[in-house]
Amino acid sequence: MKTVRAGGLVGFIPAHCRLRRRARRAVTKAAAAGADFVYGDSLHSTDDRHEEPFQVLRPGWSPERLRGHNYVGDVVFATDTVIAAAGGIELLADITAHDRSLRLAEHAQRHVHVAEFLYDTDWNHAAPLADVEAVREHCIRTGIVATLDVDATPAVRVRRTLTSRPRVAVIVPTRGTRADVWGRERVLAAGAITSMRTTSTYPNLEFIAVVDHDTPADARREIESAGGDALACIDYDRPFNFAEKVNIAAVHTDADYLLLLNDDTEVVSPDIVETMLSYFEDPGVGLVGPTLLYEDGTIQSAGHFFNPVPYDYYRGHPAEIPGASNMLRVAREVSSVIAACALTPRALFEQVGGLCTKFPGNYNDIDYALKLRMAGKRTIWTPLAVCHHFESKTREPVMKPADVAELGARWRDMLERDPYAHPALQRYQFVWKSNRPGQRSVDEAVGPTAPIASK
Amino acid sequence: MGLRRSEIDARLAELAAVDERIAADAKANAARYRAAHGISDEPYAFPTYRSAEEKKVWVHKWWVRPFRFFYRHLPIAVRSRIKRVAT
Repeated sequence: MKTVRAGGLVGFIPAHCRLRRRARRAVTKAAAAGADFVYGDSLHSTDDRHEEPFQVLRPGWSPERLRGHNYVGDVVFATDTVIAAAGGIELLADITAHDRSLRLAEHAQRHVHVAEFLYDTDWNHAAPLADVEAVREHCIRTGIVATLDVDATPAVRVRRTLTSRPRVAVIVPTRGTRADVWGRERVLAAGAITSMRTTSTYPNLEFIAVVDHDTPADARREIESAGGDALACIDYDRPFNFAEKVNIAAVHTDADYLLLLNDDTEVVSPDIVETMLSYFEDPGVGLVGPTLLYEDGTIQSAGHFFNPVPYDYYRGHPAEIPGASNMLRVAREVSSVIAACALTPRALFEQVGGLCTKFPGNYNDIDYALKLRMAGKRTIWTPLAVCHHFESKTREPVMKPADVAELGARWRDMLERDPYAHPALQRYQFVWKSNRPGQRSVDEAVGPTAPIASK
Repeated sequence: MGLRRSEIDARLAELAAVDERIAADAKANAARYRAAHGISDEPYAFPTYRSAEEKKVWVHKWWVRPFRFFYRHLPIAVRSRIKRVAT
């Protein structure tokens, strides 16, 4: 282990890594801007000297992801103060990279990702490693009560222990649509409510269905029968506005949390509510979304990123794939999640004005997540909770220019600088992939794909 | 909670007022961003694949063609070194 100095920060350089020429300058620049913990991208070579090095591009600061694996890489920089608080150079040089990153990050205030290749190393160190013991100690130090298990990826799955069982209102806006799901016709809302009632193990749920006034009577009866005593039905007699339907349901309840659930969903994980709730043990979290799967089991969304328009991570890819740097194996911060299934505290929902009714169909979820970010709250996507989303079974996906204009008028700065994406990503893709020469696979270079326009 | 229509409308109006307040701050941030980056005030539209890539992928410019031809006919060892330096 070597240490180097750059701009007042000390860098830890393991033996298998070599600092690149421009790294010091980039770190110095970050330090001048006030960073006290810096990490960057890396290049990983194979034995074949003609083969271009593999690039690992990293997202911005994502504390939830760091608990899952050492996504910041093997080379990190920190100030002397942070290093001293984390135990000193001798201790930090002797421990695993994951342990070192966790200890330093705990004491840093301003974590900065530098979008530059800071070091070269070999192919074997491309995937982030996970040290479960380090995460256990980190949880003890930071007061996180959780059970940990290790995925073979490797990744540490941190399941926080719920300290209470708050009341959760499941909000299901619907117009009583019938559709085929897995070859059987059903009233979608009844199916969603039944699956939540029968699959979820969470005891403290109430259901609110916001039902269009022109919903057929038999569909309405099925919805009421699915919800039983736990269901309150609210009539909605205005033109379609998903955001307003959710807001109406929210003002009808005094539950502690709101679980927005589209009618075209079906719960897969029995502990979906507990898992999503557990992230709110961290007061910095404002919104949590699960993995959403299509009817055929492929990924519908693993969180949103702005690339440069909003995309769902890995849409249409098999659910088993780990994603770039195993990103689909660990919970992580994202810019937003789909409101088809998302949990948020009611108090926070009211604090930011609920869903914006200027987005009747699309982008109200993105707007909500960005309002939360403005209020200092993070959005988490988790692979530990899974839900089917038979997307747009209820209506045709249409991207309206007025919605896009309003989204841009409010959030252009955030859309064009997604902290959890990377400026060198290949754009207009659902995948995390470098746009630099030599890094495009045939599969991913076939051309543009449409941005999301539907729920 | 059995709410009357007027109560619902009042509470929705409260939410909308908060949303408007936050939107005003967000729009001010976005306007600062546009001013700093010299972006016009035209209504926002998602950048298209074509407009974004044409600006970005300079290797497709006409004047690069002879260089590209020359580069493609270099030995692989030289090409890979150039790529290493370039990345």
